[in-house]
Amino acid sequence: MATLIAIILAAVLTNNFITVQTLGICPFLGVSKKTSSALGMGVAVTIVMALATAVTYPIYEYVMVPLGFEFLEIIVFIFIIASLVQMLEMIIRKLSPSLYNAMGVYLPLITTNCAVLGVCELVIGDMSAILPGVTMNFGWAVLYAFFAGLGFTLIMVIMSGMREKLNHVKTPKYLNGFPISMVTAALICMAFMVFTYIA
Amino acid sequence: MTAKEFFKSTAFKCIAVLLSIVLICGVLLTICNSLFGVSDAERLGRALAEIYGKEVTANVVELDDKETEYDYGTVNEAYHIEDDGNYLINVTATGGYPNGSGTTVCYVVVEMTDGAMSGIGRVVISSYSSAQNLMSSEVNKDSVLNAFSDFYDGNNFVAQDWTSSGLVSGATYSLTSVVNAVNTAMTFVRTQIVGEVIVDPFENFEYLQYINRDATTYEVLDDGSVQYNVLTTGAGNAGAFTITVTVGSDGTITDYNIVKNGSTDDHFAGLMHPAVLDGSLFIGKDLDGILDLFVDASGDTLDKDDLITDNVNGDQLVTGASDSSYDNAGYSNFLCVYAALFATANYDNAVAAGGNA
Amino acid sequence: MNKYKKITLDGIIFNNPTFMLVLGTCPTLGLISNALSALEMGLAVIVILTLSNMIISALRNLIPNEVRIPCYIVVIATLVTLIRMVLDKFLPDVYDALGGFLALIVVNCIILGRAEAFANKHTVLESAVDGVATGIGFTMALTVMGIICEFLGKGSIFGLQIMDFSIGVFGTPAGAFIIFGLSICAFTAVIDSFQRAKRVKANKIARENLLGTDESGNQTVEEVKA
Repeated sequence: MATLIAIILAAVLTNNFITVQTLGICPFLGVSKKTSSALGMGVAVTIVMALATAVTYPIYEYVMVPLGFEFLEIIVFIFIIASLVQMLEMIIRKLSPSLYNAMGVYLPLITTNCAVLGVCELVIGDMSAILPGVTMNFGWAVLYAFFAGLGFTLIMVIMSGMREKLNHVKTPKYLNGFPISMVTAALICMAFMVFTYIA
Repeated sequence: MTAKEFFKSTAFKCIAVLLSIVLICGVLLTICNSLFGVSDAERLGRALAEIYGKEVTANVVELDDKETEYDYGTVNEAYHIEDDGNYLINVTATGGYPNGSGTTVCYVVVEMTDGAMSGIGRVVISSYSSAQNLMSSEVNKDSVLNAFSDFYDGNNFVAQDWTSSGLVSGATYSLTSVVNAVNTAMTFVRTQIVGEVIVDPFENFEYLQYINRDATTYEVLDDGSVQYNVLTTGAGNAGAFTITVTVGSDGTITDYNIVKNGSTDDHFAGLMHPAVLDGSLFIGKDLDGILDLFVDASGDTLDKDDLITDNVNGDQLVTGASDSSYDNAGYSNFLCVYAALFATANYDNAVAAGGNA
Repeated sequence: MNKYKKITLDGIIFNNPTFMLVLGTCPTLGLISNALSALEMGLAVIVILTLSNMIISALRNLIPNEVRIPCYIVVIATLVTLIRMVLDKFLPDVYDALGGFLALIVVNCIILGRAEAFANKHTVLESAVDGVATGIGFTMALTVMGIICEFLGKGSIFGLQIMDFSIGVFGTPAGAFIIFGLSICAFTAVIDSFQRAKRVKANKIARENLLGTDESGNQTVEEVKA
């Protein structure tokens, strides 16, 4: 139970993927203009992160490590993620066209989202700085990936809310677009820095 | 679709190209991995280089068939450094802040010459239990950690040497745990690797819980009495006391003298019972007489917590709870009585062993 | 020769991957708090980008259109794995400093982006020039921001203590976001004024040619300014 709480806190607040680890910034800046699209992207990323970890973690730990193929991790992981995304897209299109309309458009973008590959690489590596005293296993790895995705979604939604308000503000010419988004993001990061004191 | 058509189709071409690229890349990487792959030994060497101070080749010492649990610490890892023959030992030691319950993890370089232990090299604190944070900055200084190689004289280290030489002003508990780590590493190397048999001078001795075995000495005098030079451990808020006790041939204490008061705070030293401070309480008492001091209302003996919290009245004074004016020096009083207990209870053992001074 | 000059200028300035296209943001934000690791990241990207551009350009007629993206990813992933091995073996300090971001070069949009947008349409040599130029553009952007960020955050540049002060926020992602945003702003402003000046100059020459007189030339400049 304590481990579960530690994982949730670390993944969502203290080691948030966007504000602390700076992973998944491209969709964070690209798809956060509207809250609905930010939420859709966030949910899609969360699902893919959890699924990708659920597939890559056992493959790495129980197949690649015993065979001594650790050095192929990047190729294997990126292939698994790409196929997974592709499969997910097909399944969603078949099962629920409405869900596909809401979420499917974000799926192809996820293959090159570094948050997904990032979490797969993170959980097979040294987690002692993020989760001191926790021995990684399959269950914790998937939970961590899932909650890291939720943390990502949280920041996406916060950011989109701020950007919707930002539309009504006149900004200096050269600050328009990316620069003002980044300064906004900096403010969110600062707010989230407070949570590092929890740990 | 015939087989011929299939081989000419785009689908086949796609699969063929993708597969061949994957195959070529895989083969290429495998070759490169065998060329550039970093072996486990190399990785270990790198990790140890940071601790050791220079690049070295190290071999892991298997701990399965060795004794790793010692009184004040546990050996976690041991490495034999090929370059200079020294050993690098990772130890988790007890005795840290607060009240001796904190732990410290240290790397200790044990220097070897001609197959025998010849000194202590670097000592690196790698982590400590969280309560020790405030104390450890005092201890985690080069002047303190280097002192191990300076103080080495073949015997185990005693934390009090640091305090008396002014290297550490406070942080006695943190220092104690570091000293324990070094002593544990030394004992491990001497007994498990070199194969020395260390005779325990306190074999069969009773009441050793609050006695520092590395610094306590005793000798049998010509008249049959035993003179102890006792160093206690700390207990609770009290630091270690240095006490000389002489037990006469009839088993009673003939001389009791507090050489160094463990209460670094004058306030607490002043709160101690005067009969303890000047030793008059103990003179003429034998083992039973001392044990009487420890008996609480229910007749249980020798439980530190009871001693401190439960009332012991009259001249059974160990805790101040009975006497409000000595309320705050319970731990100090206790340690002094414990030293007397240790001395009287072990008179026969000491005579049999003949002394270790 | 003019063609290569244009590719180079595009890569470094006009299509600067960091400031103009805003690609590869994750390693940028993650590493600019330290100028040295920013520079090291840039160099790693130059190597990988140049090699991937060359390989993909060489294979562009062989790879069927339908599976080009997976093929590119495999090539890039192989290169990244190679670089990782070499760094781990020979420069373990760099390997540790770049940490997880080294593996994430695979999903760095700059590399896949250049493969898709440039390398599969151009010759090997052109692609190599483009790779180097874009890589240099990325490296320069990262290093400049790294220097600013490290100086503000720790008072040092490339680990060399210059002044004794520190503003904590510039050692965190929040500070990186601020520096990144303001750098984009400054860069676009400079490029914009540069291009406007160029346009004004071109207009002036055109007018002069048209009117054929020096006297009215001054007039036209003022008109344009107005």
